[in-house]
Amino acid sequence: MSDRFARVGDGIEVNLQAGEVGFLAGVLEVLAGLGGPEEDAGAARLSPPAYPDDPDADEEWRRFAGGELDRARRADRSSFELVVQAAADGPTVMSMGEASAFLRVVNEVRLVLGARWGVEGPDDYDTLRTEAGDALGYLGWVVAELAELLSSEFESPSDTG
Amino acid sequence: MTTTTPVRNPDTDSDTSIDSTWKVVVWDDPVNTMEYVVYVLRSLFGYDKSKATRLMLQVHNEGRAIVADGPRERAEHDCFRLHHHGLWATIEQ
Repeated sequence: MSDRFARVGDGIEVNLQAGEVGFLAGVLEVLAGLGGPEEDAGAARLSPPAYPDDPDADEEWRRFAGGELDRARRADRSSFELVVQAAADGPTVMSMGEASAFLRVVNEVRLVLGARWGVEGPDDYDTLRTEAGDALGYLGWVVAELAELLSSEFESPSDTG
Repeated sequence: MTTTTPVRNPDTDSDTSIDSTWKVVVWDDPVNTMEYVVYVLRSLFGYDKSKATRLMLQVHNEGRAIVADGPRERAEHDCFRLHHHGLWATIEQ
């Protein structure tokens, strides 16, 4: 585990450097600037079809789920923003629920950037320009850290393998 | 999950036969990490680490895996949660 994220009591302490806070604040700008799925590969990635072989069922699905998915993501982003703002002032503790939302947002922007940059397989990471590779690498590291910390909630004596 | 998941109205929506079993499929994608997929499957479905890892590896090696099944309403609920977590999930019979 790093010193950036650590389990404390019922939550996870966040202790980020200024550069990380600035980078993560930029995540929200990326997500706020999403276009429509027709013209933005990142937006399209966030809205996969539920019924790829049945356009009518898929349209109905989007009618049922689309708005709610947008609302859920907006709630995640609001929670993420509050944590990042708090982290700008020094170490802060987020609840496990906030940590889950934080993880979803970081993973979400990773998906968006990966789609926009044409990542379609493992080899594509090698062809990304340095800044893009670093961005995906850092976001992937945050995802790994938080997924591991949150997974500690699931562990039982018979489930440690 | 703290969000409300949309559900179908059984009085008005079609194809809600309780005998129908719908499968929720997760597909391989190049950005989600293996560790994240395992975390999501454990978090959403309560699978133990062994089962979640087996399903993740099936996704990785075979391109897809059925991660849940049930009535259509349940499958759509699960698909919604998977999409919320960024996994590429679809529903099929």
